[in-house]
Amino acid sequence: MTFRITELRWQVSPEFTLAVPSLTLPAERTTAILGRSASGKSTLLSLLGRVEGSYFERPESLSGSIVFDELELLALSERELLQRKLRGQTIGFVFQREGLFPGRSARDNITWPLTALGLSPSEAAARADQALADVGLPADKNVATLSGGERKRLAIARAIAPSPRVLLLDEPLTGLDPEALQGLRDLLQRLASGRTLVMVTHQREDVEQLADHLVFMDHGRVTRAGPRAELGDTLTRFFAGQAITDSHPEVP
Amino acid sequence: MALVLGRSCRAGLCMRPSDFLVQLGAVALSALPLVGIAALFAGMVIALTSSLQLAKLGQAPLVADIVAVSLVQELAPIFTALIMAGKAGAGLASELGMVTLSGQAQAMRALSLDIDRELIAPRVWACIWGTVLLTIAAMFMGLIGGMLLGGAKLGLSPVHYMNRMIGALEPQHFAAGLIKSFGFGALIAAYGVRFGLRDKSDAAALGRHTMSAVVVALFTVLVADYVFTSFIVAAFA
Repeated sequence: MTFRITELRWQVSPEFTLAVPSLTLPAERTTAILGRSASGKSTLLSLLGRVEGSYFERPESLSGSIVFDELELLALSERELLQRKLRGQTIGFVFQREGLFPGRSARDNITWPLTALGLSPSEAAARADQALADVGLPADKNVATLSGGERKRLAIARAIAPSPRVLLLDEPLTGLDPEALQGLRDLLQRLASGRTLVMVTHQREDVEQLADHLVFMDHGRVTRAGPRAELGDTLTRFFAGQAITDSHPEVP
Repeated sequence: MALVLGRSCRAGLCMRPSDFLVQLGAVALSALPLVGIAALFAGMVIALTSSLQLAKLGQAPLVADIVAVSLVQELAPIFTALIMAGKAGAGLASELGMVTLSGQAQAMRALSLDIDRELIAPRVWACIWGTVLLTIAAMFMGLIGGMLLGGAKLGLSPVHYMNRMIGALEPQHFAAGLIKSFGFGALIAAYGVRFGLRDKSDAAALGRHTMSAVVVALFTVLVADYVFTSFIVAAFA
């Protein structure tokens, strides 16, 4: 379940281009993507999960390759992605804006996609209840009544309910109270066993407890990447407020 | 536009009937009073204006023929389409725009939920059939409006008025009106969905896209009306 990125380039706007000449995210490891705001972390994550751009239009300026499990992700159309059920079943995604379905209960937010993936209603309900119990959220609460932290927890529960082998997490633990924070960090640590996790985060504790591998980004470029054990100094500099900009000066 | 309609056709085969009925109720029932009142008065206005000219020629009873044919073939479909573009088109674009803006559309993609089946097909088909059903209601109300005016202003008895109407109307008038309304509904739905699901980053973009959906649909409906009418005139000439 390795992601291998080569010559990836996407001009998102006239002011911002994501350019990743080469990057490998190791299988069954937790990778933390770090960088200042608007450095391209969430954009890169959206490409890994193939939820970039809008529903109807594939971005014209997008080029390059992302190989996942011997599969060229960028070559797949929306329809092919849907038919393969790659998203949801194999790759789970937790969004920064949770994207919960309003007017539904917490349980229904999970069972709806599960039944679409082919589970029976009873099996979907059982999985939903288990996932909600894992994140400590009551099943019957309506989405409209959830607090910010509870919304995050529901988003995590929805992503983990199909038991995906890969989890892409965009700032999953922001806005949580300290007690919930530690509980969910422990949960993610348990989930990381045997899975590939890729997480965008700004929190040092997330990196220290969860990450084995680090990717630093700046202005749409990957500036450093490698095992956390080898990037201790860079990590210290990053959390001391220094920009990590010196790795790929040759990127156009 | 063809993309939206093509996907709606494909996904229409597997959409849940309950989703379609919910959307149809939302689209058609909410617009029914507006369409009904507009058509009633449109029928009365056509009857009034045409009667003034026909009275000069001593042909006042022909009012029923003119009101019936112009309403069924032309005015009811176009009136209904213009109201639906403002109501259903804007509703589609803003609702789907909020789905996009709040990240639900992205989450649906990430969860392998079929957006064509879950969101697009029920709304597109509801908009199309809603436009057709409302056009039928508009025809009915417009004819009643003409009959009321004919009785009140021209002294035509309802039975006489109806007999003239029935004599004037032919199946192809209904067919032309209903085929047009089907096409108009498809245009309104396609633009509503297309603009609604465009990528947007803020409320201003949502507003812009909603306005564009209405403006483009209105313009296209008017152009399409001319094209449809030209074909119909050529076919029956």
